[in-house]
Amino acid sequence: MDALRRIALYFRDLFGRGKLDEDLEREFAFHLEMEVAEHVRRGMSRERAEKTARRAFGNAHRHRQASRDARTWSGLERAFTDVRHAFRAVRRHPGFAAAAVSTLALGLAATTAIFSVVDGVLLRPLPYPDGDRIVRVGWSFGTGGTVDAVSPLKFRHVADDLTTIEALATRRSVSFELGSGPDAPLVDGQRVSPSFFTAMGVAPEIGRPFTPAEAESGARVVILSERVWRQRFGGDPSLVDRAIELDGEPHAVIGVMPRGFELVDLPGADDVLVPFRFAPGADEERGNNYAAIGRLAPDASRETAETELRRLSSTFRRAYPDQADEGEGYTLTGYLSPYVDERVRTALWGFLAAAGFVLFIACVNVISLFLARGQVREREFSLRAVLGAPASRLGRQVLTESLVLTAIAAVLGSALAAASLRVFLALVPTELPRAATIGIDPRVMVFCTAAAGLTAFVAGLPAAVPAARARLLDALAGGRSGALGRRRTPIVRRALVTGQVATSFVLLSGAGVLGASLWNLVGVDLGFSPEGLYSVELARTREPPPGPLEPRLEGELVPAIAALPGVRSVALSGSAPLERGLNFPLTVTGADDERSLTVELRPVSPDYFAAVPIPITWGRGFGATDHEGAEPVAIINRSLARIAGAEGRGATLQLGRFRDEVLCPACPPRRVVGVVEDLREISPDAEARPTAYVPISQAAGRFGRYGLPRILVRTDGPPPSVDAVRRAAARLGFVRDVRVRPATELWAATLAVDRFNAWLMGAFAIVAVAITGVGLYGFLAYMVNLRRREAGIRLAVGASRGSVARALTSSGLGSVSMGIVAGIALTIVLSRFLTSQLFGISAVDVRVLAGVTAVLFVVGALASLVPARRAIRIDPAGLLHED
Amino acid sequence: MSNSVFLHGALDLLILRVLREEALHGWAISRRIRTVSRAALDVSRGSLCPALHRLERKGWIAAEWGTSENNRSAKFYRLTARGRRRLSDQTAGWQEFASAVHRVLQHA
Repeated sequence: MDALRRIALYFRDLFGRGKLDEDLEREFAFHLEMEVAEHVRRGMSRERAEKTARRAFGNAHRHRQASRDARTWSGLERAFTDVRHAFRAVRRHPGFAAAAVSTLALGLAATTAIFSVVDGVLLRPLPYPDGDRIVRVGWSFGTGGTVDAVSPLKFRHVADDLTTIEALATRRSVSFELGSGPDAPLVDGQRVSPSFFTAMGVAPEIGRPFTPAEAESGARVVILSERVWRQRFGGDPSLVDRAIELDGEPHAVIGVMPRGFELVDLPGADDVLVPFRFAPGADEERGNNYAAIGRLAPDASRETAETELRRLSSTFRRAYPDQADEGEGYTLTGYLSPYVDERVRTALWGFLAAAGFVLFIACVNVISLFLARGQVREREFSLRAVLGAPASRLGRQVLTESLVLTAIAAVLGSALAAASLRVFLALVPTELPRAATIGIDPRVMVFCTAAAGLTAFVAGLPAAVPAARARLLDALAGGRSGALGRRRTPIVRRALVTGQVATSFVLLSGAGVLGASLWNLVGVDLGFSPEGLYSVELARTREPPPGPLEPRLEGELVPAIAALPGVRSVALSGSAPLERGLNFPLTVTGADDERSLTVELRPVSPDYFAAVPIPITWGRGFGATDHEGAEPVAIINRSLARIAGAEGRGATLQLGRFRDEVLCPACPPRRVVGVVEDLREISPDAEARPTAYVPISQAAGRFGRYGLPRILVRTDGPPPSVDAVRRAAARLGFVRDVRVRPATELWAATLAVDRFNAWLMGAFAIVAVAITGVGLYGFLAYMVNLRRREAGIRLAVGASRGSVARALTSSGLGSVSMGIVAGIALTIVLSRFLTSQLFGISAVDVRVLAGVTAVLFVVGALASLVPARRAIRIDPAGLLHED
Repeated sequence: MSNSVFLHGALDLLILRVLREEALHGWAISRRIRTVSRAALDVSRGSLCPALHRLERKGWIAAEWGTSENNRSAKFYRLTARGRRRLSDQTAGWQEFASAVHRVLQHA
């Protein structure tokens, strides 16, 4: 019964509001009448009776409100009223609203955009069930670094024994021609071991995964991705159990993966899956080239798995002492860890923090706007308080206004973030994993809403409190007492301005050191001049003619290019300078003894040293005598010569031999015939690595599986004509396409990350300083306004205009100074997060600090110009007439 | 007037008690309280209305429009069964409270 009554009340309160209000008025009127009648009966005059009655009645408005508040929906009604008022206030002060909304939108857009990247790359769970339990097993060489792959022998050693990791699987990238015929499209896929599906936790939607028997026997079966199944085969369900052609060989289709399945670390390389097995004799292979992916057992954790791997590392070292040294062993990482290294992670979180700083600065400006407007509305609030509005109501209204403005800003900000996100991702120089699916998804929207809510609260609260405490007397007195006016030290605003300046300082300093680091990188002496040097990249046709191709390149293409106008020298090289060479182990036997290490191996043609150019410091370069059948020779750079001893003279290289391991039985020992200068061939910030050069004609075919070598062309300036090169290459018959890249582009690519970091941080810093400047101006204008009576009196008693202006703006600049000091402290504290991104400069650099200080002082001075001028123009007489 | 600080908490109770005798309109309730308490308790007319509405929503009193003694339409309130129960509970509680206060004041 009670519930029914309650429901009836809800309805009445909702739909019968008008009637209820009417009733209320009638009741009030009745009361008054009775009261008046009573007094009249006692002999009072009608007039006096009415006055007395009204006074006795009390504050009618308050009682009316109290009655209304008791109704069910009153809370909601109040909220709606507040929102309506807020919208009206926005319409009435469009300038204020526009300023607040645009500032907040900027801050929210930056924060949301960066968060969507951070979330997409670092925070979002993997699209596999319990994705954080998928692990990779790799190998650590002790001090020599780590790789995220193992050799077949290492794989087998753990695959059977592991209890903490299940379903250890491996995979290799592979590509096939789908179907047959000359126009057959290429698809990229993976060879995977059968346990791959268990490890990833995904199985084919249609059909089944591979069986171990199929993998062992090398059966020709294939599982398609949903995309390939749909796009190339029309989603035909009967395709399963039929065969398709891969590289011309029929493969039975046994399954189709679920829609949306993808390998997040190899996007686009998951169109087809075929079974994998280690080739017989693979155990001989020493290279760590096989990814080992598994899933933590249900009762295992990363710690227990690492412990077990340590044990298995020592059993491996005992069983195969020639394959692993003390200090080497298995490593355990998450699935995406290889792709999100420390540097990327730090950079992402750093930019999120920077965006947060910008948002904070924007918030502070909005707070100041609210406070400024609050003073204008002081009378309004005081009167409302007297009329019966409870303090909380007024405070709530200010908060509601803040909320409404922030909501508008959040909508605009998310739109801005969405629009700029694509541009942002296109500019990011590194391959961010999962970048394709980064966007303003629901998770990001939740974050944006939360950020907006927090912002609204932070922005509105400092203004809501004084609104709630508005007193009538203050309003009527106009905030003044005494001739000088109450010296209100606006502590809150000063603290806020100081905070803004400090935060801007940090951002500017960060941008400054990143910029300086970039400058250092640009200025690094590479050891050669990239201008005028071009790298021609050749794409090979699918079916190359048999036999080594390098001699044909050397014999036919190189002379053809050398004959082009403006070309000074042409050479072949396995890879261009500023690209990685082959990472190769070798043993160098020098004057003292022999040393084994890994070096950069670059097969080059004789003109290489002239083309780059690299000075030869001893011995000779390669020549026509160093051909296929002649004595195997090598040239080393200065770093390697130092290691060899006696500056490399008389040394011998044994490629492919690492201590006692012989990885390349067919590699002959090579006599060192020359030593060349070091180049920073890899990247400006990496020291020159020990490098060995071999004549490309003596290495012909052996390095062929790494693709066709580059053709280096040094010209007088302009690049060689692409069409001419293409025509010459087409005559060879095995070149599909040609691309000419200037070495300067390669050089810029190595700097891309640093350039991006510097520019982005610079953008944040500029926005921050701009907003801070505006905030400073507002604060100073406010201070001048506040103390203008004091200024007027000073002027009246004879103070100079200059000293008055100084006095009025000094407190503002005092805040700037305090902010700078705080900023220096903050920079020192936060500096360690930036160090990994810097080159040649520390995160706390005195010159940068000094520069930033100067900039902020200038900003402060500019911001105080207009208020100071206004202060100077104060007319004392006019001021005294003001009240 | 000096009693008003104690009055606020007890207003509900007084209203219910007054209405136990007969249904009255709002003004009459306040006059009755004033009269019976020998003018010691003077409820400001305005604050009576919200209190009455509150009690009505709680279901302890019920209201309907009628005609007053001087032929005006007025809202009459009467005690409901639940209100009656509430009144006896609250009265007992109030008496306990009052004697406890009295004891403390006497003997503390």
